[in-house]
Amino acid sequence: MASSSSSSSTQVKKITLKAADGKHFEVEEPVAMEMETVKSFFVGNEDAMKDMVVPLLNVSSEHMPAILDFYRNHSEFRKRTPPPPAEEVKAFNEAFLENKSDEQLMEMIMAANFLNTKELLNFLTEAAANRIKNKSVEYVRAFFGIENDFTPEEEARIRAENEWAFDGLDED
Amino acid sequence: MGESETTTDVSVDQFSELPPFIIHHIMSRLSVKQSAQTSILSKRWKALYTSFPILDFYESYTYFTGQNRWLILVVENNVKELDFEVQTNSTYRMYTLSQTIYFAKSITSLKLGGCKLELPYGDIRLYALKSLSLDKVCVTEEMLQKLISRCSLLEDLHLSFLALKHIYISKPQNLNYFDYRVSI
Repeated sequence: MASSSSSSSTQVKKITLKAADGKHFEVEEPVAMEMETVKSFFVGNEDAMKDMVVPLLNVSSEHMPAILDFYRNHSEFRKRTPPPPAEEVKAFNEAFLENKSDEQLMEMIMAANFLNTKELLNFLTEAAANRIKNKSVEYVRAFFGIENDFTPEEEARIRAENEWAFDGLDED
Repeated sequence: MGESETTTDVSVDQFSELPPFIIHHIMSRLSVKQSAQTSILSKRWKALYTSFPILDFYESYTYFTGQNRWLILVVENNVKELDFEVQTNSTYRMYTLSQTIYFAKSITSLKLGGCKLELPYGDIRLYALKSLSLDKVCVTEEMLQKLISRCSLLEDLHLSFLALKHIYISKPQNLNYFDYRVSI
């Protein structure tokens, strides 16, 4: 929109991303390029100009600020010398997850998958795994919103076949 | 119990549609036991568990004694890398890896430790094997020789602490790394 500037080389270039619900986000180019999906929009696509708006169809604007915050911080962590202390990274990661509901976590996993960014995806899947660790079958079903489509007989058979896996597990 | 929520509308639940790749990702971060528990969640998850490409066993010995079902799964699911080590103090009761291992035709990398190999009475079909590592594995000279001579793609061979007096290897064409360790 207001970007008639090819002369603003001193400033960090910005790329505009459009979330699924149409909301625009102006993002510093290096941060935007952390996302493979955004990168591939430009790389090998000569027609794409840096002032084009990149549509991110699967990412809701609700999660964009958090996701961008993650990229900003983690790319800064990677570049810093000496590397940041582990506690600092841990503190950021914990704060990042603190107020996220299970549902929001799942939505962000889908977003990270769409954005094709390994670091964020690894981080979020690990967080999801941590949330279901040592939980009952019913809890895990509820967590992922899975509908049990086994008959009681089938379920009993699977339990029997994999006895070692269910050994010592709490009944729901 | 959870029955009060049985709504009849058929709204597709978005999470059950997590792509397989993501579900495998999450499974890879669970313990072996818990990832196996996912097979009871639903039919889709059971299929996904069966196709889970990483079988990361790190479990107590008792789960393995007397059964080789896990190995059948390894072979049936075309596992490419197998790293299997039994940590035991007993030299009398070694875990014997069944013949099934010789049928793992998709395995490219095989690392075995602390177990016993059986003399293959049939074919050795480790057609894809490129890297073989045996550490404190109970084998005979004859078995080892047979094993190596049948793996024509073998590139890396690591042998350590095998209680053998002689090792005879007729050099397979592709072998370019051989590492041999003994205890003195």
